Amino acid sequence: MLNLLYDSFFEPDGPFSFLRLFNYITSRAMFAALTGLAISVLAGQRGILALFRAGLTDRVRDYGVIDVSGKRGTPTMGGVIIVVATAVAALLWCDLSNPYVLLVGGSLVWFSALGLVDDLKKNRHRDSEKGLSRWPKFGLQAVFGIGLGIILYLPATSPLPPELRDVLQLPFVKTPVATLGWGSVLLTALIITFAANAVNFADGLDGLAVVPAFFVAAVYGVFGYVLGNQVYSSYLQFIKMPGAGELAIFCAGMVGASVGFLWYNAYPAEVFMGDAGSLPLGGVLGTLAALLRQEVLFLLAGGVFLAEVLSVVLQDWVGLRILKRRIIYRAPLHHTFQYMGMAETKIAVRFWIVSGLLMVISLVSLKVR
Amino acid sequence: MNYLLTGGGTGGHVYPALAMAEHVRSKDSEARFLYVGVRGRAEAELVPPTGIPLRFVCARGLPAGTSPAALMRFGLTMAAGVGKAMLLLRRWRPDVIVGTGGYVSAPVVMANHLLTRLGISRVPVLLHEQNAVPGRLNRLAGSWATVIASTYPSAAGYFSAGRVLVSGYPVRARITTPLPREDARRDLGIDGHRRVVLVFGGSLGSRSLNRGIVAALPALTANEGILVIHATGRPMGGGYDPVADTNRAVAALAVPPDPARYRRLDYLDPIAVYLSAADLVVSRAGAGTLNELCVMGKAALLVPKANLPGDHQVKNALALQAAGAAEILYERPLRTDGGVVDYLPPDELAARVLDLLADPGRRARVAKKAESLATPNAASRLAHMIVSLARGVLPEAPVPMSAWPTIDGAVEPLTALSASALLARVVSRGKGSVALSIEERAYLQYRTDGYLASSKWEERNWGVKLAGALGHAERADLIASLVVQRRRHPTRWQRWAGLLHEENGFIRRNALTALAGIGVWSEAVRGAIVYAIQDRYFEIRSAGCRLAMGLAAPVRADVEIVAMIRTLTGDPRFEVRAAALAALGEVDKGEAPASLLIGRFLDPNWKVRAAAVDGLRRLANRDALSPQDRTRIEGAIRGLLLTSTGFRPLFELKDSLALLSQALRAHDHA
Repeated sequence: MLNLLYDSFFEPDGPFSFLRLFNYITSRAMFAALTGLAISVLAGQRGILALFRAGLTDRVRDYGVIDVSGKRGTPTMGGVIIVVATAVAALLWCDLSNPYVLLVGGSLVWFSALGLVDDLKKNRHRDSEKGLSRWPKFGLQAVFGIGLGIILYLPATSPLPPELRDVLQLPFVKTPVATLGWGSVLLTALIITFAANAVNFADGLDGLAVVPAFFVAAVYGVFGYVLGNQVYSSYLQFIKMPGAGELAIFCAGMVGASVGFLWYNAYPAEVFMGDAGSLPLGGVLGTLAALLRQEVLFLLAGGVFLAEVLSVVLQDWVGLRILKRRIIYRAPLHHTFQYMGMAETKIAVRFWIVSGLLMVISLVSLKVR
Repeated sequence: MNYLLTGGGTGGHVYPALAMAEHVRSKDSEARFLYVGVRGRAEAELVPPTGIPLRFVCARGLPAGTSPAALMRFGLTMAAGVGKAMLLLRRWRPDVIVGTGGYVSAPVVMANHLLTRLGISRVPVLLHEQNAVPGRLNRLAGSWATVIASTYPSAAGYFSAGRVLVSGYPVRARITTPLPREDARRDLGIDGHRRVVLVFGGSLGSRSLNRGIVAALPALTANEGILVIHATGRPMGGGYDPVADTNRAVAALAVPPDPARYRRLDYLDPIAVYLSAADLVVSRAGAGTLNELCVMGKAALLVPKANLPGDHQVKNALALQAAGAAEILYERPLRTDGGVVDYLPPDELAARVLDLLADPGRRARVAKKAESLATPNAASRLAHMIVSLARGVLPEAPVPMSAWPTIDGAVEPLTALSASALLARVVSRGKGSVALSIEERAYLQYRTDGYLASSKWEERNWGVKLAGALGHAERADLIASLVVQRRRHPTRWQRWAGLLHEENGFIRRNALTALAGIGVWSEAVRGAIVYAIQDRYFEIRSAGCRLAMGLAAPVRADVEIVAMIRTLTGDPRFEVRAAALAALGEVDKGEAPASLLIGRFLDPNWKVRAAAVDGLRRLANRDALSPQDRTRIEGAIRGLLLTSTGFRPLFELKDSLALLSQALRAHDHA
């Protein structure tokens, strides 16, 4: 929004010449990150108290059995903090007429609503099994994915360059590997549903979901900046995506907001994100992957999430449903490490290291193609 | 007046109709009756001797599953039955319809409902529900009835409140008048000093009861003072011929029973004479039988039929047991190749019968209590109501509630619980101070047996867990067999996926845990441990180690098992290594385990290292170490990798809160 100030008042020699900062994507991205971080850190403490007062805790307090090493009673739905901080940063610093920003903003709203409803239902019934049931939840995620897929595919509505509307691109491969046609709609729906659920599964230990999530957001922010930039995209031989640079600002806002959330969510957590956080984080990451036509990159950059999903598929679908035995110790994957005796903090930090490494590899894929 | 009677399938549904008819006849000298039933069922045998004309319609029971073919068959049969019933109703023009349930009465009640809706006729319907839990078709028919009379208060809740009354059970007049015991015995030619056990399983016969009693005969007839009178029931089609089957079983006994101590009959006629002569009755727990037993004031050992809809015989029997008016012996569903077969353990049956026969005081108490529950004038009161309905008078004041008990004994809260809730209850009782009563245990074991025999693996899994929680020692060998039983003909896919056993991995693992809960050592349990230690599934290997640890005393003497556990200390799975090391601490002794345990001091997983330390502590506690071993271990401790990646946090605020709540509670108790 603040870029409008530049449009209205900037003159090279005028008194508002500093407004040129409001035009550069890099500087707006930095401001967005700082805004997101400031809002979630400053509003976090009050937000957590508000959640606690509203009774939105992990589990009602029972005087008889106080587990002195447990986490019961921790406020949940802290994802609201991330969502609000990201939204404010994006509203302030993004060009709100940019179609990419509108689409990713729509994703944030849709998945936040979904997460809120799910969490509130769980909270009302005091039972983590009593949220939205599996198929409506998948269905509502897929509805957004299909809708977005159609928008991106149809020439009339697609903000994408025509040659990118329906192709599949792989990291480390210079040219698109396949033309999918309507299959691109399916791919969009799949990656969005996958990402939303993957972050949801990973959200099991303090700081475990949020750090890999903002690493992935950073990767897509850099990709957005590069692909939207005339010079860099032609230097790196990408098909230029005019306007995609605004996504870098959105991603920066989300990274800042997530870091601010980590301020409180780091072990021992003062707040959990809940589905109100994991669904919008995952949904937005999936949306970014689809908007930049870098769906497969998510499996690399979000390798930690992929591993979590694979562990659940292996244990629940192959093991429980077909073989009727356990295959790995516990699922999702982080519970296997817990079962093996690893402390929560240790597991979280190791997951961060791995996802940081994957971020670096993903960024290398910009050049090494 | 025209009275249309309908209902049947089994004697339990026919007798109440006939009992009501007897009393209607005495109140309305111009009564004309018509009985509508289904060909080939109990009513075809029982109605003609009474002189009431009998007509047939077709009907069949609501299928249990949702198979479309079965539902289609059911729909077509019922449609045909309703059509025929409509014709009958138009031709014969009853003034009242009396339905006694079973699926037989459904077409008639449905036809009458249709005629009423079409405005063609309007005949009042009285429906009698015999059981504690009404069948599904009777619930449906109940919504079209004018009055519903139920035996039990518990059934009343299934019908709309304004039209239901608790009437008790209409018993035939010739039963409501017991004979003196001596007269009855003279009629039947029984010596006065013999104690008579009367065994019967209903008009169609009960296979498990018939086979059980024959197998128990050697034990029962060894005592010369006992006479067993056994009514097998008559063959009525279907796969089971009670007469031939029982005769074969008796002929196969090693020593043929003395005719003075065992009499076999098809059915008991007149039943009142036999009941009057009996000292103890062993029977099914259908509502009809129970009410006859109460009216006659008989002490009974009830063998409720398992796995009926709503488990109604068990609930009927529990109602009596709760009132102290009968005792229960549960049968055991067994899983066989041909499906589930009910089985009555003969030794248990013989023991319970002899026990009761040896205690006249107990029998008298039970009999007296049963008599106090009887509703001998239910038939006459219902007849009064039927006659009023036929004359177009709706009864104003319902018949007063009978003394018949609801199920409110200690066992009752358990009957409503699902498998998981039962397990939670058993586990919490195991921890708490309130032990399970004998009756509760017997009922829980019955439920456990039912789950173990289920065709669904989830239910068998619950059965295994329940058996473990209950410490159901008699099932130890059965549960051990679940661990080792292999598929006889695995398909190629099953072989490929490693699904080589009859039971799946979860059940086999839980079976080992259950055996640890039961804590019984036998050849089969030993076999399960040996098998488990070599299994491909890691959780079974570790569960096997834990079981061996739980049964430490016998395992210590078993060199083979101890040697096998030693090999598991190098297992690729950390969970198995840890379980094996801990087990060695309990079952092994001397230098060998000590060096094996010390050998794990640098294991990459700290839980394995902790298990090794734990195992050494167990060895030390058991005095299984020589002084040299102790010195060696003390020296080796320096070589233990003491860092670990896991720890237990302590949140001081929560700790303070826990102390506060303790303090508050202490004050409450003071």
